[in-house]
Amino acid sequence: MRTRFELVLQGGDAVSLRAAGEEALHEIAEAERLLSRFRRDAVVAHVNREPAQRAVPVPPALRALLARCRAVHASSEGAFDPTATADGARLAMDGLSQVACDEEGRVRFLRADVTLDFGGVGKGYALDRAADVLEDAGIAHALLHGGTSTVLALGPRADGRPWPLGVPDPDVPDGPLAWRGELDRCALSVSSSAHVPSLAASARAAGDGHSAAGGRTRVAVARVPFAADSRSGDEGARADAWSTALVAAGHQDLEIRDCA
Amino acid sequence: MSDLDRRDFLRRTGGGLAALALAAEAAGAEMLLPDPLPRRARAQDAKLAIGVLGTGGRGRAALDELATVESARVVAVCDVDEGRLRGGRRRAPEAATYTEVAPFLAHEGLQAVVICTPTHLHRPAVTAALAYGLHVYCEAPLATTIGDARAIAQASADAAQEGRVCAAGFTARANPLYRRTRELYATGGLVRVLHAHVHDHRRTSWRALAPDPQLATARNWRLDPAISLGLAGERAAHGFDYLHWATGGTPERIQGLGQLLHWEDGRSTPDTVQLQAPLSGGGTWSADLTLANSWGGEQVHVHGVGGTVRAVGTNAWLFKESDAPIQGWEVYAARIEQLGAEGLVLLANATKLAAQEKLHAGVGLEHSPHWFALDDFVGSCLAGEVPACTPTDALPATVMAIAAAQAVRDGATVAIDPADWQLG
Repeated sequence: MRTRFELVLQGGDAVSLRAAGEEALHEIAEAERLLSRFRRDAVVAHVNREPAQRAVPVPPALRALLARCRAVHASSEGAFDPTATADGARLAMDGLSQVACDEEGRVRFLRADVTLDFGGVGKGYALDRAADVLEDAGIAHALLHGGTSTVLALGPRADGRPWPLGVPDPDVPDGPLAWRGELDRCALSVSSSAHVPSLAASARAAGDGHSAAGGRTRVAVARVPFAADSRSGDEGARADAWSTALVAAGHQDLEIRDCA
Repeated sequence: MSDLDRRDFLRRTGGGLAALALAAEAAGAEMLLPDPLPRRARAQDAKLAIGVLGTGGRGRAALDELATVESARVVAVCDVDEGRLRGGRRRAPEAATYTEVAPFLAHEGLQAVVICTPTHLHRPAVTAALAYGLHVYCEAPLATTIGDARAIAQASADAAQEGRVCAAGFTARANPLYRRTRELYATGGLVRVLHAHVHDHRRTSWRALAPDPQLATARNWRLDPAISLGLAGERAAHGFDYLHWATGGTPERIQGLGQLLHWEDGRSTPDTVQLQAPLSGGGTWSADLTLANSWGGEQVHVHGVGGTVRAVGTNAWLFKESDAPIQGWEVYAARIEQLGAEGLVLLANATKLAAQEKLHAGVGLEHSPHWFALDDFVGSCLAGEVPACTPTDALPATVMAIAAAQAVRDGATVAIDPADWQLG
């Protein structure tokens, strides 16, 4: 995934926690082999190589992720779109509408110039899979992050307190934090306009005379709390997708939102 | 094509340097080695109903791979460990789930089972699956005792006589790139094999966490010397199978050294192992395996008079000696610099890629070796053909793995008796 993942696990002996952590990191590596556009043996890379209209079998996990992406895509009015050109550039159209899934569990592109790009959701998805195996192993106190931008708290710290964290101001890296919060049974993701070029941002910059390049970098923080009784298993992916959507569509310098 | 010999090859390619010079002008695809793994014919809509028995790490990997095999449909998964089964259910949410083997094997419509249980439990699993009339794919090595391995191979051979497809999970044999290297050896690409080396480095405790001690014991079977072949057997077996199958070599004996150098966490099994195996007819194999260092991952080097082959799962290269015979295809091969030497990139489907003028885009396999093994099994079941690796094929490397484990355990040299893999 070309980014660093780290896990903080508490509440057990070091040998057991390491074993659980290794299994979680293995799941993250498997997530990369599912979602990477660049690894030749990755499922998404394979799908992207196929010509339009050719239906390709994909794992249920990828279909479920696509379904979740469609939901965020719809709720964000298209601001989040896990598609791109073959070169990885943003499509000048609603790309997700050109990705079809059939009853056999296969995916096909309706146009030749569309490919899948889960860069805006992949880290959250990988954290979800890691959390699955940690939960199976009985780990109740864990903080996981991918690239320091997507974080998942599987329960509080071992002392019962939530995990503290802060978001730096990208325009003043050494200045005060732009946002400070606490996490417990929650996924959180941060995106900024400096890293997520978007049609919406370009259009806004052109339309209202406000230069995206010359103005403040927009930062979006999306939080997705776990349900009261259990994880749904896609909180990380949703937080990641929503932060991407918010920064693409947002109008504020700093936007913090609890997302469904 | 697998038995292509050097004379056939030279005849097909026109042979010799003069022909090579002409062909270089014409850029003829005929100069390339033939494609080594034609995909088995299968009806477009044919689907094989598969069950996966054992949803630990290997079983979950099998589920991931089977999900993208076009003719496979996973209809059932089984694990006696509920926690492991949850992992299986996540990967195959539409499949029925079982915690007992008998009802799983009796699942209506089930045609084939992929057995991913711990190695010491393969025999009862294979026997039961065959008794239910199913096609069977059994992970490798086959077993932890020669008796169990022979029993699996014999039962599978008997079942094959009745039309059942039985495969073993030594994935190199279905790996298109590894098949390509085998043809390279067969056509004299290395002239003579001097030494081959299995390198298997990973940084992992090899432990699994479980919510209770009983499950922890079961999940950590690889660390129990009473039931596991350990690093020497579980990991080196795959390299040994490749070398035995691809180069034709057979060790006379195996010497082992196992040490516990890093993971001092209460285990008694070595985390670092070296093996030496002199070959009958000259030459040696060696293996270097560790759980404490990840450099280089999993790879095999075959050193010969004509050059060295380096095979790393989804990629392979040939480093030729400057005075080695030219086979012809080298003219078109992509080249890469590695550790100060220029390697020729080996491709699995060179002819097709050459026709599309995409030779350089074909570097690396599109799927994992595990995927190719499972795809081959599925295709074999649907076509009623013999798979790339049968349990009988897997018997020699399993015997070698058992000997290697014994050599490490006893710190001794263990003789290899080829009679152990001859079935009656």
